[in-house]
Amino acid sequence: MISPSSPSGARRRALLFWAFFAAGAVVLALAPLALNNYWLRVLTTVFMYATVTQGLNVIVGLTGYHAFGNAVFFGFGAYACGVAMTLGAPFPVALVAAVAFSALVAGIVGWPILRLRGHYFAIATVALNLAAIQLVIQVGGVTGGAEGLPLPLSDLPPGPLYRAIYLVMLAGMVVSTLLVAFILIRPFGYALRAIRDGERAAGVMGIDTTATKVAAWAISAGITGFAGGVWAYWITFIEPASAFDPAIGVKAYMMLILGGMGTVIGPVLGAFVLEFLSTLVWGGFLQAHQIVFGVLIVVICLVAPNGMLVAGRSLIQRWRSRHGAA
Amino acid sequence: MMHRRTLVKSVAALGLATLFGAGTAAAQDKIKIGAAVSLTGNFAREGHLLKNGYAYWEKLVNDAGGIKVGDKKMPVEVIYYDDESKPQTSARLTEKLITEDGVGFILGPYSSGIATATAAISEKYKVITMTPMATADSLYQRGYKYIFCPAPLASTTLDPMLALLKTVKDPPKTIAIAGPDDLFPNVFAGAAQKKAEAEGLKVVYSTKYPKGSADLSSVATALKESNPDVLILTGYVQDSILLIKTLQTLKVNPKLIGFAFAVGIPDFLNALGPAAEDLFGVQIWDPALTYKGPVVADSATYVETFKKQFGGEVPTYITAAGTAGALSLQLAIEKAGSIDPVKVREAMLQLDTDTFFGPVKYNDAGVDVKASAVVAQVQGGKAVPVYPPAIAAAPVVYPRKPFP
Repeated sequence: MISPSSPSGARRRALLFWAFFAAGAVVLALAPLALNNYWLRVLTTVFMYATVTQGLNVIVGLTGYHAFGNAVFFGFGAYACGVAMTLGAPFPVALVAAVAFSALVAGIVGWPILRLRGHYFAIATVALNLAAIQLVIQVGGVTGGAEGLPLPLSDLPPGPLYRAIYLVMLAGMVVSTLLVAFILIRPFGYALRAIRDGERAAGVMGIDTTATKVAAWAISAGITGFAGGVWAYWITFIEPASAFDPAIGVKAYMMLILGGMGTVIGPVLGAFVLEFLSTLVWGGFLQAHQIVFGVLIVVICLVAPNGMLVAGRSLIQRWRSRHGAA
Repeated sequence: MMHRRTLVKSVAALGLATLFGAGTAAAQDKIKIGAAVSLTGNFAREGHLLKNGYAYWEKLVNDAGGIKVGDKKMPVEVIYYDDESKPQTSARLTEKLITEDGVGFILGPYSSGIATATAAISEKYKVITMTPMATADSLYQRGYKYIFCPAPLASTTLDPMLALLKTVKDPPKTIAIAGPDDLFPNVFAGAAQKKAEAEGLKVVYSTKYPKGSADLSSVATALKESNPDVLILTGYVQDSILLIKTLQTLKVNPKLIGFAFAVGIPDFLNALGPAAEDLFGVQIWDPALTYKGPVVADSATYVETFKKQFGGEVPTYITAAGTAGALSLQLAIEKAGSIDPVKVREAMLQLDTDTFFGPVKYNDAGVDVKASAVVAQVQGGKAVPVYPPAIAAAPVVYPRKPFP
């Protein structure tokens, strides 16, 4: 009998996990062959939120810094992609620009504000989100300002275009998940968790906490900016209020809590469950859906405050101990 | 026992057969139309008003047996969804309406930002989309072929107000334009400046103040110094009230003051009281309009029948625009004698008629080139349509009386 905590048991579980992950990715990559455009769009939205949530996971789940306004990088990514494409860049180049620009902003803004701790950092990121809206309006010019920015349209018919966007968004989710898994086994990942569990102690151990935090935030921003960039091309028209919508960040936060902070697959699970739930709930009601959705969120927070994974694990343990006793 | 089971089975089979039979028959005879509008979120109020405009038309058409397509009548079924005031949701719902629900036409959402997301999808599927409440010019400059807007676009909304200036005795010579720095105010201001210059007026002052400013005395002082004959304000109700009160305090009295919104709304009239007298505003529809047309005879009939259907609710310009958009679609389908989108589009481009809402003549970009806003003036504490002359209920008062 192998106990769950023994090394070989852990290895076997990890193998099983990655086998499931790979199988899931393959199934999703092949799904466009079978699904219609509507369900493709629903799934693309799920991947988008999973990517944003994975970005949030890096700074909140791994580093312990509550960036409530992290969706600001979604907007920066969207605008970087939009502006680059308006200036004539093809979509892949614009997408690289979206990732690079978002990471750069996080790097620059991170130096001062990542010295803040606890609530102060959280509030600073919210302020950043609100400031970004005004920034785009004031800059005007190539950003379109308050009038919004139309992106160049693709000549592709809806079938191939939406399938291409689906696959790009899927790649974003898979790569960001692999990235989080990779970070977790690197010294960098240990440094992040050391900061999360005790920043002063981490500093004493010789970790350059500010540089590590800034790097984590830049990675988080890059992942979020990727999702924003693809979204901009997908939706074809961006406005400050929709690109920097604080609701995107709130939703990602709920997905992170639901899935489990600091876990590899939690953000993906959270995005799938919450987005499908909201799509289904919304289908049944014309006006009361947001109330129903809100009640569901409260129930989830009460039942699984540490995420579905933890809740599921404790449920299994309880079941096992009851049956062991019997 | 056996007998009962057989009975249950056959009843079930019969039920299923009728269900499927009815289903296919309905699919053939009904025109399915999709409408994803904002029922929650920022635009919930406007979305409801727009939805009522669509719902009014749906009932009107179905009470008459449907739309006449060729030699048969087809009832319409409008499928409504809530876009939560978000472009992202609207895109998803538009996709659902077209690919899952199989609608052939779309009645658009409120606001240009959301409608742009809607149109990006519907255009790809060549599904005709009426966008009565999306008036940003940019949407109609994208080369789309399947969107149509029965209301005047933002850049032409103030045109009748500036055209009116030439018709008064001793016409004004100088003009000032002020408004908050925001999407529509900027479009209004830019277009007004161009039009004013084309009309030979001298623009003596123009400014953009920050949106949501709590103090506009610097703008009022600058206006006092530049002393324009005409003042055009492109802002929203709250900042406009503030600016008018400041002008009143500083005793700045241009001969004409005009706004880019409807001056008949109670908030505005109540807040300003006698100071609102003689002020001008534009609106895309007014219940007092006298255009006549098919299906809905005129605005008076519209208001009366609408109130009957919606328990006394008076239709607003948003509601009327919604009905007008759906009405254009009906006229085009009847003209085409088909629900094929390419044929309906061709018929839509050939429409040249009046409706209760105003004249209809779409250009290739889907813009109603004959649509014009109505200029109303506050006279005796009420907004009265004064321009264009064909539908004026009273003569223009110019110059205005100084503030009390």
